Amino acid sequence: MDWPELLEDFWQELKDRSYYIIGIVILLLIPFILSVQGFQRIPILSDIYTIGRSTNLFPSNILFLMFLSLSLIWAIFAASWDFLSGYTGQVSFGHAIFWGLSAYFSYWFASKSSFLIEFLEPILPLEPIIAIFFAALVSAILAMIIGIVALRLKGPYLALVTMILPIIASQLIGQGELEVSGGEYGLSLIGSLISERTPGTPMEAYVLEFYIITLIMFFISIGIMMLIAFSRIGLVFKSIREDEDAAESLGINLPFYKIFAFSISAFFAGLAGCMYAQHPMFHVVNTDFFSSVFSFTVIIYVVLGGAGSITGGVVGAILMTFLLELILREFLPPGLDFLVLGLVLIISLRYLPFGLTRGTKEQKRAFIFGIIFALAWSILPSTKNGFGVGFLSKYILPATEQVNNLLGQLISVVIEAIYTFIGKIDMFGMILGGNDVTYLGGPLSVDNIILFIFLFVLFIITIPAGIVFLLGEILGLFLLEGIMGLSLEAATLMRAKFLIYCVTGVFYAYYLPKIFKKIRLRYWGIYPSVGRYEPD
Amino acid sequence: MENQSKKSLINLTFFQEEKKLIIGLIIFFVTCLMLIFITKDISTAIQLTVSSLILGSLYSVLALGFSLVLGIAKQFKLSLGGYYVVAAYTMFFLLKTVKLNPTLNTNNDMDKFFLLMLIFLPIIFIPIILIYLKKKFDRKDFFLIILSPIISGGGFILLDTFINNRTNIVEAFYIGLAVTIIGLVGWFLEFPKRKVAIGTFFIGVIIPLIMLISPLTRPLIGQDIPVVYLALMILAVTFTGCLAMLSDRYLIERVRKSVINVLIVTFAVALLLQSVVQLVYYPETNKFIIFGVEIRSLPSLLPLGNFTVIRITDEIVIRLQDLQVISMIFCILAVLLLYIFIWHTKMGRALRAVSQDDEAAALVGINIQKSTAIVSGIGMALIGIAAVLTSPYSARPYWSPFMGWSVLIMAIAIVTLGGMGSLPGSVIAAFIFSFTEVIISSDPNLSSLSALIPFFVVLLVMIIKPEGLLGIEEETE
Repeated sequence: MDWPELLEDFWQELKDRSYYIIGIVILLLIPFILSVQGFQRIPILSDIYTIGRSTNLFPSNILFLMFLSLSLIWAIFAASWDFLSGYTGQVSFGHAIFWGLSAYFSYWFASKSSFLIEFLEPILPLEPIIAIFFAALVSAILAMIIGIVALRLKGPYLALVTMILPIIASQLIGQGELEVSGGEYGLSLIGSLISERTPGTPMEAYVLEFYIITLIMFFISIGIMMLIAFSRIGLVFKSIREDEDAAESLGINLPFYKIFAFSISAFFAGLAGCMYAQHPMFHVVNTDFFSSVFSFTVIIYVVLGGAGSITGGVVGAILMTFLLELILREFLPPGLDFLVLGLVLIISLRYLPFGLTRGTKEQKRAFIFGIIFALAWSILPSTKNGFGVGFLSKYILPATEQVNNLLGQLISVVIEAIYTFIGKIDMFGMILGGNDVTYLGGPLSVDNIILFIFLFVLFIITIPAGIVFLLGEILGLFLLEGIMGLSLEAATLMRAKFLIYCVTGVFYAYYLPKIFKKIRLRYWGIYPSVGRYEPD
Repeated sequence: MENQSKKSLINLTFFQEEKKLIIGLIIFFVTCLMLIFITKDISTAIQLTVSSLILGSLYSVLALGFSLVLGIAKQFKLSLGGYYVVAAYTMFFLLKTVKLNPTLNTNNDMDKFFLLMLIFLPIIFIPIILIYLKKKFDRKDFFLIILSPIISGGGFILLDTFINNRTNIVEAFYIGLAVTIIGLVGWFLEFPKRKVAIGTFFIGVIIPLIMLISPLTRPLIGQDIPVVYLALMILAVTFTGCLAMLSDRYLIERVRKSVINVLIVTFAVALLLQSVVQLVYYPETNKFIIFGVEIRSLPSLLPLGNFTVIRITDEIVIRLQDLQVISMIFCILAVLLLYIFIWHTKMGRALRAVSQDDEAAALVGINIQKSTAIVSGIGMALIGIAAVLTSPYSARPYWSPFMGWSVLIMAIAIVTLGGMGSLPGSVIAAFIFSFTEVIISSDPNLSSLSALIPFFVVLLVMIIKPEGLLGIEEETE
């Protein structure tokens, strides 16, 4: 087709950013997908979610919204770290100081705290949202001071100094007066962002409100950071990262830009901290906010996603939060988050040195494929009687009976035999056997048929991975039941299964084409499709 | 030439160059002693001085481990705390395994599996080690090396049966293994093969001799010389060093070019180690138990309650904890061995060359990968020594998988004060820290502050004089 040039460029841009666009659209559609009160269902996406929830893969609406808003908060924090360290190269190992300090300040601003009342008596207490803004400003000012002091330090020395700052802050605040800082126990929520609870309304509505506020915050802060990072200032930041001396010799005002980066980054880190303190799951601020867990988790998120691109941190944060909170929370013994985080970091530095967002096309494709593979294979088999028999008994078998010819019966017998055979192998299915899951209830509607075709196509696409699947099943059973000796709940088991499928799917999608390529190269010597020799 | 010597990160020439510093240090230590001796009565003062010396020697071992890696391999080893934990827990595991009861009540498959692993792993590995040794050594050296564990283990069993009336084959096996591993470490550090063989044989012979004279030491330390404990200590420390070398070779090697990535990876390794330690099972009297996050305590070299009382006059009475004194002696020994290794061996010379200029060293034919791996191994082995010796008393209230962080921050503070990568600097700074800490914590009003000292020292030094006391200013290119 003969596109006009401008349109073609536009299409190319869209194609490059397709993953981001899909992600943003899904984030915006979440209330519709979950079909929270007052929001309409979206045909296929909502159905997939409902089925996933009926097979215990997804949690309830409330929990899901909570995890989503938590991951968005982490995403803001990760992006702010990336803005400072990925772009400017001023590596901060103690970003938790901004996170914690502004959380405390947002509580103090929102109440008549005896700490601030002397200076700000006429305006206290502030509205929660304004309190959060001012708290973030405070952390930006603090960052300015730290930036001025840190101008002398470079690389690892800066990292060491910033690593120590939050520890000092937590010690000082922990030893502070009980009325002001709450000591080691901290303060419970003052000045909630969401409206007060009334007995009639369900919990879902509040969580949804918080999610929407977080989403707006997320878009605004990521947008501002991306605007700055993609403008000329971002270019200056990159030049500082690459070579400070060269940048200075070109006439760049080094101290100004460094302090600017520090304060902007600290502002958004503070914003994220305030939102974290407002999160319905916690509703508290204490000295744990300064712990190095936060500083390092965020580094790991950014390194996984890709440093030096604001979006990298966002991707890493959302993926890892879901991995940790949704899939692994009940499965891991407490305190072992860092086992996963450390492994993820080391693996990502080994295989994706520039992050997931800058991976090769094959890697990205394999990753997306892995997730779809895991969804299809963990949702489909876990129906009532093992492997996909739900489909059979409902749609295919009645149809064949109606036709009532030999061929139809033969097909049905064969299919049934295959399915029951695979159903026996499905060891997880046997464990899940007790819990009675209804599947695709209701009459044969257009929605259901489309969904059925959609899932079945996914299923068929991923069927060559049967060996990998079996391996995953056996491995999973051996690991979970045998070695670790766990007796898990159905939901936990389902999520563990999802994870195993995901990993096997990624491996399968990444290595199978390579092996295939090698075989073709070996036996034909050329690529048949291209017709010329092209090693690797 | 002058420039060259200044650029070296392990220079001992500061005695001529830094007269002001020497005078300042003398003034500092004299003031400390004055403070101690004026405010306290004389026996307390002597006790405080001795305890600050003991603390200083511990700190200097920790700081040397950190600054050795920093000076030669140019890495900030944030995984130091992780290795501290690993050494202590390995020691704990080995001490439990030695007392393993072969008729352990293995109720479930898990316990049987672990028991089988404990029994079969050595049986698989010993032939492999033998074949490897046979390939690498001459026939004479090989027989010397093979003889030494047999002599030490066999001698141990015989003497134990005759003197103490008990037989423990597992202990004898571990002693033999430790002797072999000492030999292998010497060989890995590129000592001459003949010397390695003779040295190993010598150590193998000396262990029965120690067993023979050990009844004589009963009045001194209240028990026999704990040969088994020492052997297990060697195993635990070597294991820590090997782990550090492996992680250096397979994880850090890939990101060596970027200092920040090294920081991140070493930190991740620390987190990984402290998490993995929680997942390990160890044999208790009748079953296998997972480590988890519970607080345990490492049995120490000597009983913790042993005190030596020295009466100089009727008024001046000094009470010393035996274990602390012994650990100080071990720390000093470790520092001396390190000094000899760096200044009087071929490998040490290579390491010094790498610390001065790694590219030039590579041109001369020094294997940089190997030398950085060896440096991180030795550095973390020093941390392991400190962990095994001192964690029984110093980390007692907080003995858990998370005890490494305070150690790490202390090491960073000392090395910052002493100068990044300067070995003499970190020893001096260790003693400065120990004296300050003892003086501050002896005053009841200030004792709550002593936890904050390292943080403020790091901040102040970094802001005022980032190169520390003896460090070299980084040249801008």
